[in-house]
Amino acid sequence: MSAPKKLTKQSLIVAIAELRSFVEEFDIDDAEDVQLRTDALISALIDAGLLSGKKNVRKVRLNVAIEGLTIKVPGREKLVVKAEMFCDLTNSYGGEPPQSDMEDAKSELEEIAEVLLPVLEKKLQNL
Amino acid sequence: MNGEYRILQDKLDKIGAFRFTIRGWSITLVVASIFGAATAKLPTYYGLLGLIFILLTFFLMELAQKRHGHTFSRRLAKLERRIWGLLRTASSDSEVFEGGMIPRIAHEIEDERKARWKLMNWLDSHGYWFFYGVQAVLIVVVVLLLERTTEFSMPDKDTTVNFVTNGETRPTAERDIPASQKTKKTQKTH
Repeated sequence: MSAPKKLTKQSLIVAIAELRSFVEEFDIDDAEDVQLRTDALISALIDAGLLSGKKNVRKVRLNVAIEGLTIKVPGREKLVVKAEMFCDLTNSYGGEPPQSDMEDAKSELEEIAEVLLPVLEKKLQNL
Repeated sequence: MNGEYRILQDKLDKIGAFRFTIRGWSITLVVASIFGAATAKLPTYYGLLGLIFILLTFFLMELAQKRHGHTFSRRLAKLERRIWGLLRTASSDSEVFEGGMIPRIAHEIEDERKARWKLMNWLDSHGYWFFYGVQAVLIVVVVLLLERTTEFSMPDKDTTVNFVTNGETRPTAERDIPASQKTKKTQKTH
């Protein structure tokens, strides 16, 4: 458990870069890497102070992170559903996810980033 | 596929019940044997060490069940993914199947495991080592204690233990009375 951090320009830039590179470098053949990148994105959002309340980092999935974002996100509920879908599609417990699932996951992530990136960039400009 | 999913769930339930039962047997056997041996005042208690082999058998049985449980859990996770995939294909326009995996029992348990501290997971998955280890140590300690107690309480064959009655000291057993005195006593009675 860690207290919510203060929002800084530098940490917000890092979070934006993390999300952008995640979408660009998404590897549909490597579910483990995708899971690591997801955790890195959640960590970047926490470090940027964008998550409300005290969060146990281990328990935060992408949908929980989006649900708890302190900034105003349009259509948050739909994004949460998409993020939950994304997490399950890339989950490799019980075996590697099929390529079709990874492709679906990629499109889900792209849709999430499409909404989140402008919101984060707007926040950066206002800082 | 649905049938296999249910069978696996049933198997996992049975594995849990079986592990609980053999742990119960193990505790009952160890405690009953220790109490029984302690009250029976046996000439030697080293025979109790044989319980460790029975414990080892229980341990191996539990290990096998745990291995099976792990395999079944992974198979459940695979089935969950396949069932979910089929549901998504069959009703892609339905919002019911867009929120995440359905069914999601095995994945949920795995997520919970991942969220916990590593030490907790280790203790959780290696609890049976501790359970049987403690019992084995208990058996050894009890055997040593009982043997030690026996050594202190059993008098040496050559030692005469006397007790005092009406100011006169007498040996405890007839075998301890010197032969000369025995003769005297016999003479007096005649």
